[in-house]
Amino acid sequence: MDWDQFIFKKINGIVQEIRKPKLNPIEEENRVSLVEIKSRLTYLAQLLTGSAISILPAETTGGWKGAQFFLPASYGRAMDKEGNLDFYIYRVFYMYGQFRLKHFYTNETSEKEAYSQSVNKSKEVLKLISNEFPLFESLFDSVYKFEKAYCESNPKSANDSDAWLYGKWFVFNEQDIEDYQKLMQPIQKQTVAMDKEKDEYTEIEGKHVEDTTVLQVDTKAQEEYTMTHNFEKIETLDSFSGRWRDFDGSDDMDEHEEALRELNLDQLVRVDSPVHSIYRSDFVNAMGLMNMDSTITHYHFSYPEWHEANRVYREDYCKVIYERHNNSQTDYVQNVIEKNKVGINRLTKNSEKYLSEYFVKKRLSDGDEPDLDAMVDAYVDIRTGKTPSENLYISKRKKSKDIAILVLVDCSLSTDGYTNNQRILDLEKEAIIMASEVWNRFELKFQIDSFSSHTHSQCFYTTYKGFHEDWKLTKGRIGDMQSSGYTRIGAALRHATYLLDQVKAEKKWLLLLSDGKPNDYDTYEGDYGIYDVKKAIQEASQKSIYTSAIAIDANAKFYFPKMFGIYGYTILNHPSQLSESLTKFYINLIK
Amino acid sequence: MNLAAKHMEDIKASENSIYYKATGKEIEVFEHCFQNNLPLILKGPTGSGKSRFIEYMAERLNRELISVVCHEETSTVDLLGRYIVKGASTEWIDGPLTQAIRRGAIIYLDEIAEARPDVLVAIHSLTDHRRKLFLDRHDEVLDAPKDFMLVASFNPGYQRGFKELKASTRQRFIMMSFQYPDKNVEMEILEQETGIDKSTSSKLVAIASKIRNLVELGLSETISTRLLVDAGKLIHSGLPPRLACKVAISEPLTDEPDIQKALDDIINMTF
Repeated sequence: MDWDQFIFKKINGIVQEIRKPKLNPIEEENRVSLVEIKSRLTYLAQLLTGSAISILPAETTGGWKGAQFFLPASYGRAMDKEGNLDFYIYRVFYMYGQFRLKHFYTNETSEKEAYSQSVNKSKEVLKLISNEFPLFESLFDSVYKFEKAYCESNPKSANDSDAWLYGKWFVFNEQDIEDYQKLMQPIQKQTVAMDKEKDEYTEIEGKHVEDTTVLQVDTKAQEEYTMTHNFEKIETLDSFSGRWRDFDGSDDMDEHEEALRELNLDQLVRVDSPVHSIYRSDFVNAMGLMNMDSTITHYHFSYPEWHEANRVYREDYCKVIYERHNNSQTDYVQNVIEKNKVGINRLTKNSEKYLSEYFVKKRLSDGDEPDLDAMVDAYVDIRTGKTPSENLYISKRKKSKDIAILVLVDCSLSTDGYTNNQRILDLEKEAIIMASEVWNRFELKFQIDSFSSHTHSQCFYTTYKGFHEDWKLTKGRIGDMQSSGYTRIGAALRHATYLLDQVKAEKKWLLLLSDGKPNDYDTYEGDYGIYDVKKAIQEASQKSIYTSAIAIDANAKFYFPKMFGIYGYTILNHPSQLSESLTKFYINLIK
Repeated sequence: MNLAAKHMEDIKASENSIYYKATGKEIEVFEHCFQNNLPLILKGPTGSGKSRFIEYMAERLNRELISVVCHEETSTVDLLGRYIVKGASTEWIDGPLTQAIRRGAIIYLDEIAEARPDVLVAIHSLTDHRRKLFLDRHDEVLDAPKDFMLVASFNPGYQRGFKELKASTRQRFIMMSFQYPDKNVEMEILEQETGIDKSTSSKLVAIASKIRNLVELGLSETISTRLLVDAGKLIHSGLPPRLACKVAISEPLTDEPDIQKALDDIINMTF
């Protein structure tokens, strides 16, 4: 940074500090931020509405839009913390009332009108909620009182109490009205660059937007771009003004953080090139499904995809490109085994405990130990004058049940991210190696596959270890697993089902390891993706294949139950529990 | 007139001391199964009234009820019986299933899918036209009397895939599904069972309906009528309603603090 840029940055910082409104320290201490209570409010909204409602931060005072409840990012106008928390609870109940009464606009309207309409209809909403929840009225009274008291003592806020109490009405189009429970979901893009060291990547939680437009990229204009902004190199950014420039993907976002916070995100473009930084923001996708048809020449399998909104299959929609991985990184795998020797032995012993209990063969003519039950029976036979059986021994040979497990690993780009200073993909690989070491000792039939995608035309499915391949010869391949692309879970599940269907086993299990929601470049996301996965699981079930999933994402509790049912998944509090979880899964199978 | 039909005649006028509110045609189905010597399985979530229904029916048909709660260690020996060594001799002890056959009772195998596979094999001969029990160890074959009835139950969602009944076993039974009753029936059950008034029962049922319509909560089991009855009993005995609902509903349902708080928010707006 040059000296003049440095001085500008410093002076700008001081000016911003002076312009910042002075905050009351008591108010700040009692202030409640939405982030702290988002999970609780999400459950509350879902309980009230019975729908998969998301809670998102509003630009100002918020309101209800489709499957989203927008709430202020923080609130501190009550006298104490309890009161501030009550405000949020009140607003969730209030939006539930609006949700029930379907209070929204169908035509564009002014911001002023949107707020005043909410006030006009507030009595109707309050009455509906009070009828259902008798004590809601007293909650409203207390929130109303401290909100009015705050406005009286703060002349600047004299007229805004209604906006805080009732929020505003949002504009819905016809499709929104029909699909608001199904198709509107926040999008969390989590792509990060490949081959980057952990200290070189940046992730910033962005400000949130209530409405946005996705623009088509004008590549010609992009080529013709000339730099016109004088302060390009210091921390200044502009909202989109019609000028196109190259997406260079460089990682200098931490330097731009301050400027980014002032950026208006109402117009966006979609790109598929790897990025080095994440500026994450929840927004409501205003677009329908994109058509990303392209011709592929590889040999592929075609599978249908479920369109929940239309309740039809899109026949032969997904093209799965299948390959067997042959490259190995044996050193990596040996290091993992060496490093986790103690852990592998512990997992083996845990499994062994159950095996020795359940796979003892009794009443044999020859064995390691006498069978006490058989001895007693023989004694009874002798006493009653019958010929006793000669089968008086137990054998402790371990015989595995006839189970086949296909482990399907999500290798999308998001697994290249870090959690607790460890790369998610490395955690996945280590857990698979540890669990496979244990499974191999018990001669379990298992296969390890991975998947990633880049639109429905290119769903990549790779087998690292087949059911009939020797683990000792194939384990090196796990070390070569790489992150790429997106997460089209449905197509991968369908192909895994097809492969499992070919295997002979008494019980067949498909185990998915994933770190995120269904998500692909051609807007395979939200409820569309979730319902497609659900459908793929039903299809597997029809072929007597059981499915289960392990999620390496705490937020999975909001969407995994919808896909896998209440018993069909495990959510890990910490990714290091993955190997433990895989072994537990195996123990549950053999018990 | 056979014994089963006579029993049915006898009980028609009599009143049961066990309270059970029918939600469908389950009483008729049970009586017909009893008359025709058909084994029966009740399936449904926990706390939906399966065990209460069996108790009620045993009393209604004036039959002895022998209940066995199956678990992963339950084996054939536990049900059929075993020899025990007493001094220098051995003595045969009947298991609950053998006892039920000898005494013409109703045997109720709760959570049958949990039992070890050999249990299911052992009862196969009892569930078809043979109605016989082979006690190999005792060198005895028992013919089930007319009054004997085999009833079992399981929860289809629980341990899906890990512990399930095989199709060959399922097809040997008549099956009935139990679900949580609808609003008015559940209110009536709560009032009868706990003595609470209509207003309180309606609030409890309203809370239950909010919790039940949501799979996203990821609760391993949703709220059962049994939990509502427990909450109702606590309220009726004088515990403040919010506290009663907290300890009887939100605490047993989940350990996740945020879900508990959200449930408490709903309870606090209701009571």
